[in-house]
Amino acid sequence: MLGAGPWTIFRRVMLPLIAPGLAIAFALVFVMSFAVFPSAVMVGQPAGSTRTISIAAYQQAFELYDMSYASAVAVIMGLCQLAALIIIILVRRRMTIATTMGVGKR
Amino acid sequence: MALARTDSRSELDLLAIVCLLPSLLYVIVMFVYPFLYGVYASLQPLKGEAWSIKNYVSFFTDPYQYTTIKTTFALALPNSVVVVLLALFCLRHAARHLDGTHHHHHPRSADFARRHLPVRRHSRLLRHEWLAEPDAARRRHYQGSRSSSRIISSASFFRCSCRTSRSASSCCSVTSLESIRALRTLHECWGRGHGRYSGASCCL
Repeated sequence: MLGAGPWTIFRRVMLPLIAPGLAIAFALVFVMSFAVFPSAVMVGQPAGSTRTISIAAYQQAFELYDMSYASAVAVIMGLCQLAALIIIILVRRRMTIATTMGVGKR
Repeated sequence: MALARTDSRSELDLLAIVCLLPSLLYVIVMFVYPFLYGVYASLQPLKGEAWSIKNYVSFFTDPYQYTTIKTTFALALPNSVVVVLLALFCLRHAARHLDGTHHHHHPRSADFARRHLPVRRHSRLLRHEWLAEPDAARRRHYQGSRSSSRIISSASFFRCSCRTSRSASSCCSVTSLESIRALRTLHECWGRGHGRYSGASCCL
């Protein structure tokens, strides 16, 4: 640590060590916020700019009473989340090369 | 012999599977079955024949529906980035608190604590931040930069401990050369008149 400032320590030591955990945290937060419904309805504009996919599913299920279409929308939402998770885990696997302690190597 | 061993192992495996059954049942009933039922329901459109992907086709041909995917990604990705950055920020501050130099990292805040905190609370603060351990090596570690404010901080701790013991000799028995120098610095400070502690000479 000779002569390393706080930012250098953070960037070169801390960040590689906590990167796998950060990736998992990102994945969890992403899955949660991908299924956002209450905020998009209450503080957003559910008819326009914040018409998220869960609002589309709700509309099909409880306004048009087409439960089948709503299930299809939900399945598509799950597939999107799965695709994002796969990408995150692939990126994470590339990040863990930097660790030497064996922590978080999987 | 070998046969008996494999038998006992297979019995153990059977026991393990039986023990797994309740949780497996729970997962199947609460997660797997609803998911599969959702997939099944999505393939049975309200109108028209059974078993068709009409719902999916109409979702991906209707711009009003498929743009919701883009909208959701545009909301969820920045949100996740902001939340993770916030968590990093909190982690940084928590870790900074652990390394023991939180309040005394900046000379200005050390001076502020020394001047404005009551004596007892300041001593507790110093002890909490390992600046006031009666351990010369650790103290030397934190005084390594020869920052005058840090030495004053540790000296004011000795002032506190002297106040409780009311004896100069018991205080000086644990001090090294450095802390005596620190006390001298502190004494000079008090002589200039901006310390609220009087009676430093009792320590020396």
